[in-house]
Amino acid sequence: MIVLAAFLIWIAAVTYLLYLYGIPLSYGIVDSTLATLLIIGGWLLLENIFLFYSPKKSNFWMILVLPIVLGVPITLVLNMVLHFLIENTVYHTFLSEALAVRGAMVFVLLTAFTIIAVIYNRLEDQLKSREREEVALKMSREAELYHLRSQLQPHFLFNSLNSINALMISKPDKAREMVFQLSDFLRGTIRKGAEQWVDFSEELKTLKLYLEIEKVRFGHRLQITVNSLPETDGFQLPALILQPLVENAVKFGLYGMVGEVTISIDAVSKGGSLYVVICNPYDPTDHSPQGSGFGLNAVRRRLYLLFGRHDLVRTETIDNIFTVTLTIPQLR
Amino acid sequence: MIKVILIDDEPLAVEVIREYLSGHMDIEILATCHDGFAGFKAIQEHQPDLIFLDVQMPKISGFEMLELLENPPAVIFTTAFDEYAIKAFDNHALDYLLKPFSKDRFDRALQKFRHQLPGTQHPHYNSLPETEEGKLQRIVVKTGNSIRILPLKDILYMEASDDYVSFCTQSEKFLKTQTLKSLERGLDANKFVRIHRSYMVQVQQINKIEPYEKDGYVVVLNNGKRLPVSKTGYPKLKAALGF
Repeated sequence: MIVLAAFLIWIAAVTYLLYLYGIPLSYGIVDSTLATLLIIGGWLLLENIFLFYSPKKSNFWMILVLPIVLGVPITLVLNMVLHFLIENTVYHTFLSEALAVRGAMVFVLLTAFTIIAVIYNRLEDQLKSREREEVALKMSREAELYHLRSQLQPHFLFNSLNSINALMISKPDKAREMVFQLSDFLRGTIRKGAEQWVDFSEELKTLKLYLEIEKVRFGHRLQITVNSLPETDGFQLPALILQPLVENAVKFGLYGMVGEVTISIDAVSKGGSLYVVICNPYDPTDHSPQGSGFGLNAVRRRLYLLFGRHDLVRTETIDNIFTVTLTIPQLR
Repeated sequence: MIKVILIDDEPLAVEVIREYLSGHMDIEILATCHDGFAGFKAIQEHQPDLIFLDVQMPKISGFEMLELLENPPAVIFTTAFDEYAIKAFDNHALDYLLKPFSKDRFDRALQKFRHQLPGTQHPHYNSLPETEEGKLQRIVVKTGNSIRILPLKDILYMEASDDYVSFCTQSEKFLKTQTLKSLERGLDANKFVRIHRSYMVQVQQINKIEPYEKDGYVVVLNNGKRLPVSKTGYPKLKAALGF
């Protein structure tokens, strides 16, 4: 519709222009329509050329050569056809006099189109490559996140199986219960691999399962307190982000100390963000070889990839209590 | 009777071994311990023939506990970690059971113990990093009846004498059955340098190096202690200090 309107306006304008030069309207319409059709034909040809061919930087002379190669025959054909169509001496004189100007016009129009086509092609290429880059980045990020998430300790699984093996004879009921706890926990961690975000209440459920199992293994010395306000239940956080931190707390608490150990998890909401605080006692004189801080770094990295912020994980040690505070901004 | 001690920080893991052992009438369990400190004490007190030992335990690992024993008993490791197996067998462990293990597998390990010649001596365990790629992070030593964990940064230098190495800190000296050679393997070569047949020094603690007699050198530590540098030690020192 718009194209047709532009076409008609263009023809009218050219006809009027010719009228100003003393060409009668009837001749003008034939002249302008034919000229416009030929130029559009030239454009279509150019478009098809650029559909299959996008000039490299070193071939930019093509932008000038193509309009000349197309423009010269178009102008000549136009003149010849008009010459035969309109039998008028005054008009014939006008035709021959205006040949150079007409040729220049055709050249300019074709060149403009060529330039637009080249730029459009380039932009499109750029857009496509940027899209590709974004997809590649997203994929690599997902792979990294997946890797960071799956740092779950296999020892935990083997030690739990060993505990089940022990309970089998002495307390078969307890053994069965632990099988279910372990399955629920594993299902929670495996299924979450696919989803990015989970409700805090759900993350807490998985954590509690994990801690229940650890309590079966170390029940005689492991105490756990979990405090979370109901308002935090619906807060969203990256799946399994707390798991490595709680694993660390258990590890440093149980392997760094002898005797009873209390690990606490507290959650509050403040300023629309979720704050999770995990505390464990630890012995500063331990110098344990396990203190690689790998889990902590993985969590830092993951939060950075998701939020682009470095300040979401804070740690401090007061009176031999190690505290990790996690801030999870809420995107909704 | 075969005297046995079980050392594992998980009560249920101990229970499995107890259950597996219950069919063997010639075995007597003298003690069960839940950490390396208690294990060390119990071994010294009871002198068992065989111990079942976990690796990861509170405070000190199973390996660190073994290093402190002058005459270790036969050891069967029981752990969920397979990465320590090479170190365990390097140190002549009798067997290495990966949790969870079956009764069959357990009985085979026990069979190995029974097939040992009577009076077999078990060599002393060496301070080596617990995994191949790792380096030692600390040294566990004993003073009298107590166990001390020395962070590497507190150790100024080590001096070898016969089968012992003394670890010297600012104010104390700790003797341990050990060779400098094994320490050289276990410690970061950029932090600790073997400057002499009998001395290894923490690079950070060196104040200056002085010429000594004809063409020898001595290092002077921050606390004024002077240690000789041998002809083969000098190039190593140069490499570590980067001059």
